[in-house]
Amino acid sequence: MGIRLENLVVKFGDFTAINDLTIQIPKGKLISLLGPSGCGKSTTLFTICGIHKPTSGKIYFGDRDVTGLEPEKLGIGLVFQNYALYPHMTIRENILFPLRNLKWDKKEAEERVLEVAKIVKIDGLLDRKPGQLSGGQQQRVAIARALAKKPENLLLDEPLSNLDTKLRVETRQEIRRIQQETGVTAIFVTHDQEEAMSISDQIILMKDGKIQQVSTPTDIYMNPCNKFVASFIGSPAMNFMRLDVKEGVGTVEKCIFNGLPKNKKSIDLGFRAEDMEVSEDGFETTVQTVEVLGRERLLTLEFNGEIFKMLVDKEFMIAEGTRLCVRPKVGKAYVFDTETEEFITKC
Amino acid sequence: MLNNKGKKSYKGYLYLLPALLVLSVFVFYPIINAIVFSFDETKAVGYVFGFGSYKYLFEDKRFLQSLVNTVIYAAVVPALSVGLSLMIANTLANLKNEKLKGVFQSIYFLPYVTSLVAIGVVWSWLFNGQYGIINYLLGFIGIDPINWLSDPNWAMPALIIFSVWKSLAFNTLILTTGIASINPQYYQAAKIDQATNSTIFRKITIPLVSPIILYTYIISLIAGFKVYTEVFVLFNGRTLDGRVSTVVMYIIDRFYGDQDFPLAFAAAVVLLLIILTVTFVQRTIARNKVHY
Repeated sequence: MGIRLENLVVKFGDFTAINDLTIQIPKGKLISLLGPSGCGKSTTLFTICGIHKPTSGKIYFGDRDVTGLEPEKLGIGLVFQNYALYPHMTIRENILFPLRNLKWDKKEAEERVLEVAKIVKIDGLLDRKPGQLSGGQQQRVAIARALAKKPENLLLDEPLSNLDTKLRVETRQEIRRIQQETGVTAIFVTHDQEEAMSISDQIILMKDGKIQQVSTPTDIYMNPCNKFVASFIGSPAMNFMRLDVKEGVGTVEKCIFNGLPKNKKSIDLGFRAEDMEVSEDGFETTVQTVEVLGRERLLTLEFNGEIFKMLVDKEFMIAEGTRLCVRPKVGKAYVFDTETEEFITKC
Repeated sequence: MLNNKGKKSYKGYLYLLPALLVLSVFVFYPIINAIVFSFDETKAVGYVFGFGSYKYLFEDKRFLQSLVNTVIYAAVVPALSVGLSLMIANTLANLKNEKLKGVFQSIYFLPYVTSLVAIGVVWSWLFNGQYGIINYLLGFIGIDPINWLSDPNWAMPALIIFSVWKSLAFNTLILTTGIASINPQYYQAAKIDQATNSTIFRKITIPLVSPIILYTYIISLIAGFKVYTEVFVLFNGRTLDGRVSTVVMYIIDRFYGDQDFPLAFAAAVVLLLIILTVTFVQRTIARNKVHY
């Protein structure tokens, strides 16, 4: 079971929103579709649920070919970004609505409403109207409505983007819990890498309608396959620097990088803020700002007009404006091709 | 502070003054005058100052028949018109082809921008007992020709058909706009929830456009009580033994024909009271039902 997309292409007029997408989503897993605005992640979701129609390619739910079917034939649950709760119905009627359409037995339907309401913890609000609920509560109702008919697949379109930061962190854990409890296969669309990292079994990172990388959160963080993935995943974002290479060796002041590709004249070097150290064999930077994050401090360093972010221990005292000699930790820097932006090696 | 506030509201009244003056001269003064005049002596029986006109009015068979006709008309036409408009608007809104949608919207709106007199001429031909296309079509299903415009029994149905057709244009336009303003996500959500088209129409569309349905209904209802032009253009001023006479026609007849002004005014006041009451009742009922 699960969901399978094969060579999916979606075009709106001349614009190709999704270009040759092939993904396999295993049953019972929570998968994130991650990417910047306009990368085609929501389009992918709406194509899976039948609201958009694919130009070519196939969609399978398990062994069932569902390509081009209307939404009402699919039996999926969908949570909209703005929840789309019917404003004139009470919460109970909202959750009952899909069950009535499926002609469930009245008593069973009522019981099911209570059951899902308890799962998402809104059983005390059933007789209110959506307008009387807070954003977080409406969010839960939307999930309850989507889950009521016991769908095998639950699709969520940026479900947290209308909530404030604190509620967002809470709710994403709730979504994870509900998904685990119900065992539903979930596809979660988001542009927030932190959100994707924290709740998904797998992340599908997209850009311009194409898949960049499919991997577990840890792996996508540790082993980005190209410069875009490296820059998109992680906060603060990865630092990059262009490096001239001679005979496989690159030098920045006293900092020497060995083991670089011998056939390249220059490469892009990427390193994360937490993978930098103070070293005499480094390059000299100016400390522009020091941000106290609590557990650690975030330095903004300037070097030849370029800006680098570096995380240091909270005990590390340094004044803004001082000179600091730093380098990436050995073996923790990523080497990318300057033209294809593909990952080459670590150094 | 309090003083300041008092001054401000004083100034506010000043801004209202121009509109108030115009309304007073052209609306309030005539209404009050009509009410006062309606108590005046009436020619009809020579009653003296008092409720004479009203008493005469409710003994006058012509008035009572006009009143009954008007009530029937106002009960049937707005309901039929709004109901049909709603179905047409929903069909239009569900058309996938944007070009076709535009064409149909224009066609449905045409009657509104066409002169009622011209439409009346066309329909009196359509209804024509001998040459009319309606009788011609009815002939196909074995119905004998009907003298729509001269048979007193068929005059009211003819008037209703004509008026419903005429008022569809405006109501359809307003309701199409109303349906178009519903967030398409509700429809997507309903589709995902596996609702059929008729369920979507009943459970999503109607409740969400209910304020607009009410608006078009009340507007049609008020227009229904004031019906005059439709009758005049379709029957060329005839009333077929009063079978299609309406309250407004009665008022005009009394005013210009008999020049019995108090009686005409009394009839106008009765009509005003009926419209006020019906609108008020409608709004009260609606306030409890139309909101979300």
